[in-house]
Amino acid sequence: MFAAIRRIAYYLPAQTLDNAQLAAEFEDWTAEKISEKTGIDARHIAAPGECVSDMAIAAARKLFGTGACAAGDVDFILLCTQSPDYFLPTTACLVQHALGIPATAGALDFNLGCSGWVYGLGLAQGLIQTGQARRVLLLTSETYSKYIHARDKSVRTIFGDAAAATLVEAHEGEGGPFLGPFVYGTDGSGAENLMVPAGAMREPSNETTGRVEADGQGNARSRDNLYMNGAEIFNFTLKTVPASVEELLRRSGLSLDEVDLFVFHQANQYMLQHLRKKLKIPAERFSIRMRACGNTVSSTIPIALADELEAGNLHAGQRVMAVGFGVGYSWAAALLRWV
Amino acid sequence: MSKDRFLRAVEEIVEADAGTLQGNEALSGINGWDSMAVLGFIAFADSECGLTVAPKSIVAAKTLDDLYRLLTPATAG
Repeated sequence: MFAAIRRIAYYLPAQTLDNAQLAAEFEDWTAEKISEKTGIDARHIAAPGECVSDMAIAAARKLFGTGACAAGDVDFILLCTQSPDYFLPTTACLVQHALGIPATAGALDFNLGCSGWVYGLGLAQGLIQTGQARRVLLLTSETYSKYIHARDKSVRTIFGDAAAATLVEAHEGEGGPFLGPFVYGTDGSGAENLMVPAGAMREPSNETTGRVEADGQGNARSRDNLYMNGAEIFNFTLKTVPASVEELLRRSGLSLDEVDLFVFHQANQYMLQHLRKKLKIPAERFSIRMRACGNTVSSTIPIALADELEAGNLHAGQRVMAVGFGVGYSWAAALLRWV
Repeated sequence: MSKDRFLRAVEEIVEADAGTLQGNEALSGINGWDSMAVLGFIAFADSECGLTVAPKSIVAAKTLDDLYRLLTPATAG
């Protein structure tokens, strides 16, 4: 018996932020330039009061609506977020109650960003293949927009809010394993390059942390806001992503040509195209699915997979390589066999 | 890496007309030299020179010639 992905569904908030709106606010960039440089036309933004649990619940309800399973069938919830409803309690507990998932289910939050979905798959596989669970609801949900200062175009042009629900379950059919091998990596020396410096225990929010300052590149933010050093993050991906892909191929005993679809974290189109060319992956086997929703952090990979499925580009028996990388630094790559 | 090839690449990155940059221009005076252009330069150094250029070195560069010097291994960060 092996763990396998059974179904993916996702939720995008109703409100959108498009390039025309951004171009009106940031005079030095046109809507066309933003579209061309980022590969993004619109980002969905959570409404005031719309939180990570609300979006995760909406994504899970969409998944249940497909008939893949019912709330009563789920026996473990893994919820990945860095923008939880509360410091405590655990968001996954709120989701369990709201969805009517049995009280016999386990539930936990884990704090990762763009690598989170791949880590979640590894955790789900561990729970299932050791007999601790049979149906794991893996939820990824972020409202980074609530961390972003309105005058910071470096992140406002990139990030969108979203939630994805992935059902991972025990699969009795032949042809497994369906998940793995996995390659993980961590380098906390890059922590300061993508962070919200203030607001938790190390630096509680106060009048000083809330003071907005310009950064010399036309952006403004306070220490309560999200900060990203895009150039440092780019260098990190150049160092880790190709090496992770090569290591995963080595562990799998596969060549690049034997992978049917590559789905990397949808950071921004420019970075993705550079990585694709560097790795010599043909464009037709490389997923870029961020035009309508932007970089949704831990939900980019399941959203891209769901869109590829919808487009008829992913079929049973095919091999997919998923690679997540970002805040932490943290990264993970996994080979998936679609069932 | 010839200087001419470097200059033509920067022209493409900042969307300047071909042949308009000489090397002595201040980066702050070049239209289009922004955060996305920095990513473009990092990508160019990676794909054309096999170099990882430290962003702090790019920030410290004042002119195109300073950038060009980062593409020689002895000075790349």
